[in-house]
Amino acid sequence: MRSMSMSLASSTGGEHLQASGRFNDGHTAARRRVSVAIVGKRLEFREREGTQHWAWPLADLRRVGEERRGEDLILTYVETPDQEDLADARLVVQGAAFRAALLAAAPQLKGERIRRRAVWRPAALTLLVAAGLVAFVLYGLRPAAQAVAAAVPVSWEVALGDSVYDQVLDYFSLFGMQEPHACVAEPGRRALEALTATLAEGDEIGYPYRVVVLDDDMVNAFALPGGRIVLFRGLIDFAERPEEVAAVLSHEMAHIIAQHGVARIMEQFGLTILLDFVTGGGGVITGGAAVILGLSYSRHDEREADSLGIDLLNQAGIQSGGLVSFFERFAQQHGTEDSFGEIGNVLSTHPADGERIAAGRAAARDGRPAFTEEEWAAVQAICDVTEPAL
Amino acid sequence: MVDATFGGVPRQDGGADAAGPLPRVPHYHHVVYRGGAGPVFRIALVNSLLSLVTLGIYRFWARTRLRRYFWSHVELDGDPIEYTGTGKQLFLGFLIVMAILVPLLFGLEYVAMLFPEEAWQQAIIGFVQVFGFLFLIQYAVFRARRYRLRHTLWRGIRCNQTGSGRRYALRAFGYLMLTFLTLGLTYPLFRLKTQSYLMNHTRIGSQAFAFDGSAGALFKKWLLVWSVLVGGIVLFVLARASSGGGNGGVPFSLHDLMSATGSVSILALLAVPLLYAWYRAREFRYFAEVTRFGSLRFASAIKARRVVLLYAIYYAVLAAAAGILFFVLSGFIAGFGEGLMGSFEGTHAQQLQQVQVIGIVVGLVALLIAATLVGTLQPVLVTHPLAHHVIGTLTLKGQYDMEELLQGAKMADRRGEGLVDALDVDVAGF
Repeated sequence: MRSMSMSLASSTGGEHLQASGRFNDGHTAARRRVSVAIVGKRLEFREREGTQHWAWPLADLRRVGEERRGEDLILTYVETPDQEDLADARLVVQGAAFRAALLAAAPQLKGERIRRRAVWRPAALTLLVAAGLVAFVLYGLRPAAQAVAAAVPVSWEVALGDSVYDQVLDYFSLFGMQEPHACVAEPGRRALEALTATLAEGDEIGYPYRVVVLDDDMVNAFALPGGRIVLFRGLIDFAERPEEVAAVLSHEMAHIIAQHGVARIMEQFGLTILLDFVTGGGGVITGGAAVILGLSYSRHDEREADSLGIDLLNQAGIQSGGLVSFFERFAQQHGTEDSFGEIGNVLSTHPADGERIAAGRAAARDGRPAFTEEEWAAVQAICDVTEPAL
Repeated sequence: MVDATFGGVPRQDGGADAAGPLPRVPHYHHVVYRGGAGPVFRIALVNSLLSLVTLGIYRFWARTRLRRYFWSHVELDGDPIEYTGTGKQLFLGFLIVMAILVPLLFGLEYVAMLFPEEAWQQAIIGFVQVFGFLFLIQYAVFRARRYRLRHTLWRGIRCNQTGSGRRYALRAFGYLMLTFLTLGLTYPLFRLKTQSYLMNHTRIGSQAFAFDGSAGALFKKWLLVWSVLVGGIVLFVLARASSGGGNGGVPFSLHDLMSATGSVSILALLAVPLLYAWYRAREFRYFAEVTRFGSLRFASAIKARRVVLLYAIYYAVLAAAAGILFFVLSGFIAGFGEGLMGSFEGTHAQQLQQVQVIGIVVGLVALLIAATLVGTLQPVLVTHPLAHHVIGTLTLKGQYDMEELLQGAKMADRRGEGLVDALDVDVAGF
């Protein structure tokens, strides 16, 4: 289809493979017909109907439109590599034989070289970045979040915890439960405050602990950043000994001291930003990854809170075997029950596997009781007086 | 390899190799698309797989490679146009925009957090977010187009988008608001005014395009799309109301569709995307007519039916793929979940967690497969045939002396299309 004009020229002294081509000088869109030859380390071409001639060093040649089929080579040349996208003179050379000769003389023009540069190298680099990112999310994000959490001022944590507390209570009253009531019988409150203050002596940061008992059957408890702890009446009813309540309380305090809540927030925050950056805002992907990561960290957090909580009890000289008996009994009674759909069930965030029980047993020490008998009776009766929690 | 499929479009070699001197002014100008479905599929497949394993980071290079393919197979008067943009530029542009946008968004979130009680403050913040976003999208569209034009060359002559992104965004935003206020009726005006600004500020080298149209001709066509859309919505609401409405707070249920009104409304709403494709094809024909390039005029014989068919095939293939994916995955979940429940020893909570994790993982896998599928199919089933048809039916009328076409000012634009990526805007399917 394309006629190929090739001749052996003698005008430049030696015998050079010649080809015809067309040239755009980058100043106008006019096409000039040129004769092209490889002369030494240069590509020389001259107008067919004119006197102008050019010489481009072979090493500076670049090829464009490399995805095109056919025998044509479209060439440009760059004086400085970073100007590559601004070079705008174009030389189209025609003919299979010349093309082969030119590719041999200037190998950077070969299709596979260009593809290596434009496809495989970026692919390898982005794959590396992606792998690094995954590694960071798996191993670096948690420590980083923990470090950031440590730098957060206590007052900020308190404000955060308070705002989450309000939201959680709203949530409870929204989703089917009766309006949350706080248990406020004075003797029970005083007993809990006294125990909290004793345990808080082991906390060097000095969070302002505020323990609230909510009048609900759930066997559950949770802690919020900055010192808020919520126990449900169901948990106090379930406890057979004061030490079991003390164990749960110290476990929740440990969550606060270890800043698990704040770290979790930082972590989700960081993960969201990071994944949005790479995936370009794939909301579902980010959300899914965050949930998986959250679940995998929750076990780590629970174990850490177990051991730190037991330390708090041991430091205060309080008997610290309550966690083990609490978990064992809980697993027996609730383990086979259907726990699906129950919001915030103690087991969904506090998986009580054998390992945790064994670790708790190993760390447990004997000591004085957590409450006197009167105090324990008062704590059990704390819900005799209630008031709206909101 | 697929040259033979380009029926109707004569192969033109521009006469460059004819024995005589090049004619200074060709007798006519012509534009051809020479791409093949095979190479497009291969590139799209490799692109999708690489994007998949790199968590999507490769997408900037993927897009660049496709563009290079498409651009270099469009020939004007025998010479291909060229795409000189790079994946690196797109990637860096995206990072820069995210670095600005993310703190901005979180700043807004933080401000919203400071006033949780005040409804009017929340409303203002929401307002700023929504309208700020809509405004930014317009700006992003302009910048993306500018990047692409500044990285498009023909015979070494650079194209350019002049004009100001801010002014364009203001104008587009204004007409968008008007479209909202008129419940969508004045959409053709939005299309025309934005196209007018963009085309009147589009150049190849020294020569600017001129665009001189009015929306009047488009309203009748738009009215068809609009009435089907509005009719579909109205019928849907009616169907819901007559079926008792409530559904216990579920916004939508199959029960609503059982009535005649319901099925008609769903049919109407399903037809809207195809009708919209029809409208855009007719619109393109009109836009081509009112566009000039120096002494050149344009005419498009684009067939709206063809475009609609093309999209119908694409949607049907996607729907079929989604259906298959759904059945395979739900079977997988059912089987796996059951096996897990039976064999796993431990508490319910652990089982629950495992099931949750598996559910999420399966969901993610489904999403990734879907994204890969779309990434592979769209260029093959939409972009390529559309380019083939649109460019194949475009004729250039009149003569233009290409020696008069001079190089424009050197304009580097290396920030890429960050904003478009950050906002996740799909610009013209590329």
